[in-house]
Amino acid sequence: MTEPAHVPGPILRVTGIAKRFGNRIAVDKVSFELYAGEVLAVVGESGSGKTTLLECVSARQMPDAGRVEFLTRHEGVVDVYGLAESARRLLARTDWGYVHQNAIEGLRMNVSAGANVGERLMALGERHYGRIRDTAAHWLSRVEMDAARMDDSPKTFSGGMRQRLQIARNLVTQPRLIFMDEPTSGLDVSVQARLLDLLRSLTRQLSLAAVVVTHDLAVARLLAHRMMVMKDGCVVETGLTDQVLDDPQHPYTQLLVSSVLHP
Amino acid sequence: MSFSDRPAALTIVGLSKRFLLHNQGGAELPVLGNVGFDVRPGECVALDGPSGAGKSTLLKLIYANYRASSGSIRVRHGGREVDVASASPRELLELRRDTIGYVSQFLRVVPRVPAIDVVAEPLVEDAGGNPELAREAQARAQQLLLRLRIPQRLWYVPPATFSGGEQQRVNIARSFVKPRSVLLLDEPTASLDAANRVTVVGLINEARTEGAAIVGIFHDARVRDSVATRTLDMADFQ
Repeated sequence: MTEPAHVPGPILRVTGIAKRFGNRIAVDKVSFELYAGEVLAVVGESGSGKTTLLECVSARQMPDAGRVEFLTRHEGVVDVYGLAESARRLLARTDWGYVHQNAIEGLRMNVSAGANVGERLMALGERHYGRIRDTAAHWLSRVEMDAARMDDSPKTFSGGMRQRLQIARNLVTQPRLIFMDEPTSGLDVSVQARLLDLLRSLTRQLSLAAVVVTHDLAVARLLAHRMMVMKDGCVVETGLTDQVLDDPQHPYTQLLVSSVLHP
Repeated sequence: MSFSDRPAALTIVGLSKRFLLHNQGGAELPVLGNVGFDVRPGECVALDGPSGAGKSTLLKLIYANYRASSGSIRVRHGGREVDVASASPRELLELRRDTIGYVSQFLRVVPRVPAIDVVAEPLVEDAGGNPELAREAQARAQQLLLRLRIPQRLWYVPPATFSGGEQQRVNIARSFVKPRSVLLLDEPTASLDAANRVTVVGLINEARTEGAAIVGIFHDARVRDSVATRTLDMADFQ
């Protein structure tokens, strides 16, 4: 597709990412692009390499080969693995977010909910206690949390609340790209629905780009514009979410789609 | 107003669709072949043929929900033509946002989103956070819900619990809230009562006289006769 001059390029460009563990190939030369405001679902069964791909792309795990380029707010496109480690960390803490499947991994369980949200602001140099508290309260309300729980420990929170707190902690620096690893699995169905709706409206209102790893095709249908199907470390099919789900082409995708129960 | 001097909004050439079922021993289902026609602004083309003739499949191909096996589906989008059969996902999303509307028989319900927001969403997304445009979107959604006789007490309720007819009307309201130059209608009046059927016929004819190019499936002969400007026989596309 030829781009008119005023249209900016992709916010994220991933080229030939590969990762092996011993002899086992976890991710085999995966490439994709993501534009601002676009949500991409990566689906596949456990062991397909989708989480390893997410970790390599989000600089949590060093790939064996490949490039990750990110369009920064002020400095144009940067090669993420070409950055010094400190710069890469700052990027991951500010312009990116990462939502873990298990909220405990993304939260600090021994400090209050408000401190969990405020921490990332302090890491950016904010020192004014009142401002930190106000901003934290704002983001807690955006994820539908009662401000009265701000001083409570996340240990006292339910699974759904912890997950919403983890999202608030990520959004407080107003990232433009967010990575999510199975954000709704392990939650009760009613809690899942609320969280999905919240994620759907937040990504749209904030024009967030997101890469969502999920094994749940319904989650992909609801959240994602585009979909990528992985099997044995390779991408076997890509397309618009409804195309892939309603007219799957690859034998594996056909099997995956036809195996889902429709209540 | 006449649009007959304007270029076609939709041009289909040599389109075919077959389904290859890998997990059923590679069974091949040819559904459509040799599809070719164009639709000009202000035309409403009714697809005619028995169930199983591929009418819904054809609409889904034009919307890029299904992928074409061969051929081209060119849609006039702004000042240029985009071939749905070969366009990138980004172009397809842009086409769906601005140019092609699709009314399916069923509403895909999003948990917890109230009916009025379901209807307003296409305009709200365009508003990009501008509060005045967002208010206009809500007002336009209200007009359509009123016109389609959705009781006000239901506006702020998610449509999951609505009746089939109510869900279909919410779906129609959502599809007509933003004008599109190509409209695909899959049995838009299937579960509606007489009064609402008349309303929907009115909406379709208004869109058409404003220059939309429409392709539709209308089993109800009265509806078809009151909206279609011509009919295509699916038997020609086998």
